[in-house]
Amino acid sequence: MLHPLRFSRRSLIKGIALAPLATPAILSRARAADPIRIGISGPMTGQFAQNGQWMKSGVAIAVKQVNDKGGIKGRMIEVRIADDLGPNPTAAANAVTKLATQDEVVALVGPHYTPGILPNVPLLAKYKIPCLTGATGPVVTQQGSPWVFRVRLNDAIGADLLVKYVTEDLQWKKIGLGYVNTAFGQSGIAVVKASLTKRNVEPVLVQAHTDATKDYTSQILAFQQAGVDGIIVWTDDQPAGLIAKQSKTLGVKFGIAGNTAFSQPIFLGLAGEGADGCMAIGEFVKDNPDERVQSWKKLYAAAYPGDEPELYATVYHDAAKLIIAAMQQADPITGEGIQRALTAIRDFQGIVTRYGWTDNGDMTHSGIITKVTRGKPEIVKVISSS
Amino acid sequence: MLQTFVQIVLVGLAVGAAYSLVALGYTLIWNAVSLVNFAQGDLVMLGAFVSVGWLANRLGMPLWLNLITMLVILGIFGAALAWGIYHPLRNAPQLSAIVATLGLSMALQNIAVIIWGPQPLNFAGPLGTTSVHLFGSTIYAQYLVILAALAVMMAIQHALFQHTALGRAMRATAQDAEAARLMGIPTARIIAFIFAYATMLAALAGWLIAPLSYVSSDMGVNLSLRAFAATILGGFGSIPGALVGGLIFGVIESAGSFYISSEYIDVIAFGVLIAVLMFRPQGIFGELELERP
Amino acid sequence: MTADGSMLTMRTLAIVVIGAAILCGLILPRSLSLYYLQVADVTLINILLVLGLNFILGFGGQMSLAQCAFFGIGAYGFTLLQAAGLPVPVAAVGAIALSAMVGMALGWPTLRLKGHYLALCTLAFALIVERLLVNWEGLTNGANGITAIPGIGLAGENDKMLWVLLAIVACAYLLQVWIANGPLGLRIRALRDDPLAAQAIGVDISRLKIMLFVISAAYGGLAGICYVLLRGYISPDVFSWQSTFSYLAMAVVGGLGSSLGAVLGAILYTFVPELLRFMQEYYFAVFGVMVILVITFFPAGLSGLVLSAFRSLRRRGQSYARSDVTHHERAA
Repeated sequence: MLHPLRFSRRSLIKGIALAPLATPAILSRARAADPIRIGISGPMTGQFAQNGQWMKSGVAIAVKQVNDKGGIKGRMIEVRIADDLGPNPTAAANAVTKLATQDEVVALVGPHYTPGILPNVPLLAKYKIPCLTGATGPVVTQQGSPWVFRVRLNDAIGADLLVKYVTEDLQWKKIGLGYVNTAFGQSGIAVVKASLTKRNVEPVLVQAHTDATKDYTSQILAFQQAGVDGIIVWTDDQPAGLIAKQSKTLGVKFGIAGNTAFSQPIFLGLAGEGADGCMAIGEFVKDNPDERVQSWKKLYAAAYPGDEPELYATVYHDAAKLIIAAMQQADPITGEGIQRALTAIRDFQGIVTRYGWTDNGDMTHSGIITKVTRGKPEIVKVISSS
Repeated sequence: MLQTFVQIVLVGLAVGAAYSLVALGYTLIWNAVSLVNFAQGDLVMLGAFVSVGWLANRLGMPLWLNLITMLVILGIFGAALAWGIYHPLRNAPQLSAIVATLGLSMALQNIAVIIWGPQPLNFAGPLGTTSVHLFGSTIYAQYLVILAALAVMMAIQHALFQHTALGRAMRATAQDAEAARLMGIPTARIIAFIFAYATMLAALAGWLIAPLSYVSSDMGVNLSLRAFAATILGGFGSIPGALVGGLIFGVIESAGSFYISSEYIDVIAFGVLIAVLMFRPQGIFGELELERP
Repeated sequence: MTADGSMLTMRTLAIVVIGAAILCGLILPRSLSLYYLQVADVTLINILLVLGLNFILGFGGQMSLAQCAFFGIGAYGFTLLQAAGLPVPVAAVGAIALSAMVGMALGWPTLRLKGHYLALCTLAFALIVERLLVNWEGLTNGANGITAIPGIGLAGENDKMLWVLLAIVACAYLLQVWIANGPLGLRIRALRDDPLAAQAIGVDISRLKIMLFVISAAYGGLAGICYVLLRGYISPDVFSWQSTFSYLAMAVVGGLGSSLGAVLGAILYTFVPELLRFMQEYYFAVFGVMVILVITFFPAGLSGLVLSAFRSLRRRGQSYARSDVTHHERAA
């Protein structure tokens, strides 16, 4: 039996001994030839690591381009990466604090998840560092933080556009809703509900799942029994793939529309033939014949042979481009300078879209509706929020 | 209406069969060495990754060879676990060994991402998305394969433990390793064998369920939890308990999601579990006083 | 195990612990960067959680995996009570009471459960609490969580929060030692070592178990409040059911049943992954292997290591003081 008292003196010693273990940050002021650092806060390990990898690949290409041309005012850009484990507030706060105080980055790409952004809103203001995120939850830019910029289509806009499309263009009357029970799915489906209410449509059935749900039979049958014309689903790539695949197997007749997941490669791979007919509101498909997208594809394949770009690598590539553009305007190149320069951006041609800052920090204002035909998502409609 | 009910129950049984298969692994290791291996679900994941990530995608092995090779690799890995993790901790407090398996679980999940990358892998298996019609409802043929495999593995495990010299040696080792060793039973080798077999069992489960969804580093996490729930529901250490517990849990999930609420399904399923334990604290087939020091 | 010469009296211990806390408060902000200070703050919160777990798991020998749920109940309870307009101290007391009450509500019906049955039951409870935090959107704002919680206005102030947390952890530590040394502590150990014998000598086992659940939950709730004060933001992700295994691992790696072990385990488990960050995507794999190695070499936990090092030093000095204490310790 261990007696607690016995070790108390040791606890004191351990407490003191810990101090030198962690080396203090060496605070040095940047000189002209010093590199400028930007940070990536994203999931680099664990089940969400794919997103972190895409963030890294996208940003790396943009940074290499500018460094090859001599950097910004003679200073090279250096990327520092911190693992935030995705939707993990504690880890995300640690990652951003590390990047801000230890690595002294002047701007951040990420965090990618809403529960990663929200705990950092006060920290970004405290350390005066702007971040560019791809989190789509409306709540992200509702915080009124001048330091948070969003480079993807706000779900508040995207979900509304999708509802408009299925109710007006496709004439769906009876609509079922499905969502992944996370911050992302919950807030996305809330917008869909509000948008339906606005159009005097009540969803006939709402079903939730988690990332761990692997069999959707009971949910699909419930939709079928409710006699829906179609379902609107707000979820991640993997569940999207399984829903489409299993709907096909069960031979259901209703249509499936959803967030951008329903056009992404992981979804396409999992859903197989089930992907055909699925519609999505999104920003990017690699098969877009647009010249910008095609040359980006080549650029990406040159950097990562055998690989093709998808939404996240592309969006975060654009995010890095936006930071670089802001750096070129900023004087001095500090977090505050970059933040000011970012708010001055009105029309910046990226690969995904033309970015322009609006009051709440949203920089993306248009989207595309895609429909999968023979395994490939094709653009059926380009829509803009304005 | 009835047809829907049949379909819901069938799917529940099929999903539950996967839990049972993993639960059998828990039961086996528990019966043999009184250890709860929280990394059991990650061995499922490892089996699926070795099979899909290496043997299928890299080497393009035919399916039967793929399965056999994978089982051999994972069997060796399981024996290595016995030697590397269980053996040094055999005399340590039970909780220490459990935490070691938690460390193993963390390591395996992260190593899998490093080796096979974070993107989920697809695996068609022998049947692909073939579905069959049964009692007027549609179900993946793969589910029937899992149910069949479960029956076979359960029979093998029962026969092994009850009717063979090896099984008797295993049980003797489980009851008192020291005494068994004095009786001339090569306990270290027996334990290595048990780990190898339990790992192969988990890996087989991985190979069987991979075609139904996908292979990813986190696929073991929720499977572990539900298999653990199945083991407890059925009665810890009981082989029929693992079987029945898994099937019941699968049906509760499937029917609860359809008839009550998909949003609150975890609350329902685990709430039922707690309620059952209130009335039957030893599970369905469990014996009282199962706890070992 | 009786007191020997190395043991400190309660008063000496109090001086030592408070002195250590003050020293940490003075030294750490000067020697640690803002980032490591934040990690230190998180470590202190984890210490609270593990101290709480220590009551039920270490002292009581009851395998509870519900600590993350009490953590969440305390955090949400405090946040909602404060939002309802209650002053901070009242909200804090209310949240701890709420957490303790839920602890009782979980402890009472699970009295008959043993070992892994109790483990699963408490794990199921943790999962249910997490799902309720996600689904009960009207109350908890769902998975998005609650932002800009006022707390005591120190959210993100890592240096000031360090003092607050050190004070709380020092008190919690002393309270645990005081309880463990008092008459209640004796009964607790009797329960763990031999429940039947304990019952025979008149220990009300059921009441004791429930009491342990309640204290354990109260500590978890207190940790939840601390998290709110530090972060100003909470979401169900912070209290996910998987995180409960980290607290279990901290308690065991540190050394079950030892308050010092709780401190050591939490420090190791919180600091080491941050120190390993330079290994990029390898760091959690490496950390997992480290956990296995630590457990393999020190199955009784780090506090056991510290203890035996201390013992062997003493033994060298006083040859007459030989004892078989370490043997007993392994048995524990």
